[in-house]
Amino acid sequence: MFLRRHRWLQGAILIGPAAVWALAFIVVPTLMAIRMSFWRMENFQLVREWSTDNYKLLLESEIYRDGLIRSLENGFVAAAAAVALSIPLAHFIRFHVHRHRPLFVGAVVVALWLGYLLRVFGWRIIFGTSGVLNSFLMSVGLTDHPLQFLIFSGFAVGVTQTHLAMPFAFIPIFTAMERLPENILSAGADLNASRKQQFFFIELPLISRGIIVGGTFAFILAFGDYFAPTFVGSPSGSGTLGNLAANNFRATINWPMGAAIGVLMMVAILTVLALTELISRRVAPESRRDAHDPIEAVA
Amino acid sequence: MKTRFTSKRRLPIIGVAAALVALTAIAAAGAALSTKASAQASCSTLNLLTWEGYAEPAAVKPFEKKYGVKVKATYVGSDAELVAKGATQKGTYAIMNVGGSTRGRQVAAGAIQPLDPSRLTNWKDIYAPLKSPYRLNGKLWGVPSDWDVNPFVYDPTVLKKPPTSYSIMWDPVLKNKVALWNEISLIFIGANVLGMDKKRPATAPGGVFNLSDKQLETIKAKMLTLKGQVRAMWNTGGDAIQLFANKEAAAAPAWNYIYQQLKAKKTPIAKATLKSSGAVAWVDGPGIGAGVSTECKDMAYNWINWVTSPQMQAKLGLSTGYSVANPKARKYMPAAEWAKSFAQTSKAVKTAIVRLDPARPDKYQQITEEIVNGLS
Repeated sequence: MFLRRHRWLQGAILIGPAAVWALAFIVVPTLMAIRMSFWRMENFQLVREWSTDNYKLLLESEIYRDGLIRSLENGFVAAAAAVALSIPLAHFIRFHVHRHRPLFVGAVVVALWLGYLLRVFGWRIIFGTSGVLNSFLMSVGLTDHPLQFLIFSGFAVGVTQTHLAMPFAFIPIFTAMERLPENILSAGADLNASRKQQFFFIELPLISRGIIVGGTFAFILAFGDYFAPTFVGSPSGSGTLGNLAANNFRATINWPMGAAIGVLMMVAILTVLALTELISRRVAPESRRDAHDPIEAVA
Repeated sequence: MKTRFTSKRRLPIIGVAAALVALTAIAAAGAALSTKASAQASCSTLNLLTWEGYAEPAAVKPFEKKYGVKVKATYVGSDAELVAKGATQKGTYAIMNVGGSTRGRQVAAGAIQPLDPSRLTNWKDIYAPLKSPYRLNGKLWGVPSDWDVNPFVYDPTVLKKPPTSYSIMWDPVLKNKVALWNEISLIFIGANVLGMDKKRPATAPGGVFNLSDKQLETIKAKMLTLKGQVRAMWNTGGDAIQLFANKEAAAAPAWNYIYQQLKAKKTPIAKATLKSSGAVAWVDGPGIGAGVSTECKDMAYNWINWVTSPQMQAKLGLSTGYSVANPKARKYMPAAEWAKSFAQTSKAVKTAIVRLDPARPDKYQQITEEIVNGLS
């Protein structure tokens, strides 16, 4: 009764915990990190004097420039590969699996149950010089020496990060595909559209928002990843922004520099998000989304 | 009406703000209580900030039993990490490794505290040439416990003849088979290959620990020609052991600890000390971290005396492969092992680059990062 009379209290109770959580653990730390990125360390002491030196170093140093390029490459490769694999898989499950659909979807999502480190380590076991794949290839005579490019290479990072990002790309794409109205697809068939035409001109545009959301999730995950590039990447592969930030916090204890790298990563991700939003507006304009909005399903 | 509406709208915000303040206050109070409690408690845990190999169960278990304390080791992967962690986490680590190559920075950053020689039961027995780096500003900052000339570790099935210098890393037979430590020793290795390590004293301008920008750029250019030879970088001894055990690497400027562990795993492995060309050498030992409680400081002295005792020195020397700092350990070591460690190291160290603090550690770190960045 009391709550019914004081509706603001209802709102506060419902939103309060989440708002406090977001404020305490997202908003405030982010603002603190931004503020710290303008400070500096001197003799391992934090000097609270405002300066843009960290950002100047970020722009001038080849290490950070290469780190940004590597991180962007990792992000785009994983996003593109995860989306490219998720679309046919989601299509197959949506249209060709009827009785055991949850089982198939679960098989993709179950990867998330395994620990992150375990999944990365698994690829090292598979791709290693004396690993499962090389041993198999040599035993069947396809090669007489271990394939070196499989591990400690950009290839290994791409495969590992695609695997890590796959469930995050698959879920929005599958959700968007599952909500495709049957009647639109049937209409295409009635109008003599081939299977290929139905896929490219009906199905793909309608799931475009799911693709963009899934690709963005995959990008963010691979862009900020710091363990996989170190563990399976090339000698310089560990020089991603995620790793450089981690080193500044963990090893050399230069928190302001680490914070500046973190801000750069945030800016890069926000830029990608803005670009994807722009693309999604072009690919899936409002009018079409009004008719059917797969993104709602994702959200 | 307007006022009433506004106040109603504001109330949730005030509520949220009050909750946040309360949360922060609780967290702060909790942290304060926790700090106070840990400061007041006796030293139930002895925290070590050190390298792999210096907290082996052979030393830790009997110490824990004898003194009723839990020993918890945090391992570092580079001098920079050792100095930075010690400097920013004062009061956490009662025992901090003090190396010849870090002691100047550790003292300057106030990470370690001076030792009382009267409480060091084995100080008089420590090999005299190792003592000098530990005296700085008229005070004593650590006790040498281990020293070594880092060996060049290799797979004898790939390299048929023992290498005699670091130049072997450029040999085509090691294409894509070299593993490098992601650490400033890359600069010392480059200096050695280019003959820039001969100037004495090594800390004088132009010496290996005080190289000019031009010399560092020359070294960087030389090391970058290893591109194509390097299979992977390693950050910890464990990483390097995995690389050799899984046949990913066939050669690496490494540590005796890595060699010992691989030998124990029956991995085909050999080592060369590069006596004629010179290699990277070092001296390490425990010191006491700044800001620790009196109880933990007392326990830290117990640990220092424990690991520098002849018996424990022999045990650790045999386990890590490093040379002991207390020659009285000879009594407890097989003659062959003694000859391989202390006797051999005493000779090899004459041509080695014995690591000291670089004059410009940040510059050395930057060049190291640039080398690693350009290796693939």
